[in-house]
Amino acid sequence: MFIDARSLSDGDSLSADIAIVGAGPAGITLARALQGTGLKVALLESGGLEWTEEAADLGAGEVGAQRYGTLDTVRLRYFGGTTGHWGGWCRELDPIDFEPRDHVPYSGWPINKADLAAYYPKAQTILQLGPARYDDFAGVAAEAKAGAPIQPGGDMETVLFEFSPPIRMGDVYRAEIEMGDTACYLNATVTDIRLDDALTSATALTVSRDGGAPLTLTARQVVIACGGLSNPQLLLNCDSQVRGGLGNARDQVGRYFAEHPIVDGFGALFALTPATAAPFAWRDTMVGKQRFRPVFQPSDAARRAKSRLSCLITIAEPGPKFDPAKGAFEWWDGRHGSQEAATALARSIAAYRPDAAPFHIHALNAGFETRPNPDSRVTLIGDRDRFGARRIKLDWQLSHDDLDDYLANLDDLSRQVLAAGTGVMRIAPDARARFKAETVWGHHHMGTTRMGADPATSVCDGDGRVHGLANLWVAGSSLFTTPGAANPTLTIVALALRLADRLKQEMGA
Amino acid sequence: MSDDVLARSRRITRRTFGISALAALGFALGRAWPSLFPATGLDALAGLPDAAALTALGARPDAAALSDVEARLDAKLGDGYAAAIAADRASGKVLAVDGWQVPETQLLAAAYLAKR
Repeated sequence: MFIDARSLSDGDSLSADIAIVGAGPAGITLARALQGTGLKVALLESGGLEWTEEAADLGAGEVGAQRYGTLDTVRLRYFGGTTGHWGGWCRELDPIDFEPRDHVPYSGWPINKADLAAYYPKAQTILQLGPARYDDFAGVAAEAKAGAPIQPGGDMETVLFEFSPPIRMGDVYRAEIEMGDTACYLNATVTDIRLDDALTSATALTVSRDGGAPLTLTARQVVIACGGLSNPQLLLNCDSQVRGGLGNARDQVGRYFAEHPIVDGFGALFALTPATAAPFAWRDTMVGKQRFRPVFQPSDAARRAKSRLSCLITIAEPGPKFDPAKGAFEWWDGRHGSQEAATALARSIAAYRPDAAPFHIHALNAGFETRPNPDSRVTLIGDRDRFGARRIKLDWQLSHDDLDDYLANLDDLSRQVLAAGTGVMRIAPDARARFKAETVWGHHHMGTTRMGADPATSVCDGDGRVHGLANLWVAGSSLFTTPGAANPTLTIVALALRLADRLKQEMGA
Repeated sequence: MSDDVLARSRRITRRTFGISALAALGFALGRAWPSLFPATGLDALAGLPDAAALTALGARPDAAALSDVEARLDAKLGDGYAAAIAADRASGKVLAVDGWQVPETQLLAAAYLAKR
């Protein structure tokens, strides 16, 4: 059922077995998984059922030297959370993503991919995906009669994303929450988490709202599921009993902020036939109702042998067209360097082509994995929102070392494309100079309450429980120890399902 | 006309036509030479179908900066240009021109043609 917190009376007593703060992909997944268990679940959403400026304002903050979106737009504060602007890209993390790696400082999740094996398939269903086929490019390509510009077996391989429709969880699961036994409080902004006298357990939440005094909700278990920026913001703001905020005894909350840097056009491909690029770019590969997007990533073996970070490279829609009959490009894209050089190269290629069909340059776009960096972080600033909570500053740190891994992966791909005879690739010589100015982001906020076995370098344990607090849990991509290269939503949902089972176990349900 | 004059005239005629025939034969041989004895070295590069494009490519600064071009090409062209390109593709030997990663032989040839 939905309850507008603004309609409650001052002094109303609220309670739950499990309180979930935040009704985004993690919170809604948790609430649904706990329905019908007999547990009394409260789902608290700071916004309403639709986006409002008033709710969004609570997410405003500052951005550091590295360019980033305004913080009240990169996170959505209403029922459904950031699925409200989700692109639907889904892919599981790879086994190596969970492992400690010598070349990746602070790597090594306290869980491995097998721990999510039971949950990924359920997450597929929740996000309205088909059976997982992320590493079955050959099978999907055969069914879809699609080609590929590289041969299998190289250091770079072709893998798949699958697209969710994409679902807006606030729309798709609204009726289920409304008709179910979850009490979903809307316009209910949690501004404090109270602890017991021993400071080892959460006992209650302070719920702020417009038009009335803050309410208190007592709970036996508390889950923070507000997203990768708001999770640390809440923990840091909860400093009424513990200096520095909850879970922050080792000054780890808000650190290791990770994103997927999105770089467009640092690579380019002369695709010698439309078939080379089409299944990868503007035409998705359909198999039945499943919609796939082939991408390139370094193989597991290459990542290990070359101590290489991962990336996922897409081929963009057709760019400048070279017409052999005219010996010239019809237009030009300055991202691809000198038009004269490209024209000379294109004429050289065209001289050996039996047909005179035009061919295109395609930009190669990518999001890539980054190394965890404790100085890439979310901190509180002096400015406060209307409920008195301190706003945040996001200081995203980009590393040229991480870019270099991406460029090395491009280099491997280039050699494989050349060997296959399907194209010629360009790697922008000025990529390093352009990196920080041109990089955009995937709205993937990860790592800020990371999981780890060691409280000195993490905030939560392998179950998502905040170190040192028996009943305070975190859900969402802020748990990610390392970001991998895949978009996070599928893993967020899988982790939330796993946490639901853990909470049932904890509650004896 | 005396016999001497006639004999001299025949000699001149035979000599003239013989020289012409030899010249014609030589000319024909000259034209057919590349196909009878295909060049595998540097001289063949100017006859490539993309020689003009390669020359333009070779004028780019990063191609012009290549060193030991002739020696490197000589070492690669033993089985001909096409075979060298194929070997570069298979082995991943590339050079970059304005960031475009092309077979090593292709850019060396471009640099050579641009410098001729």
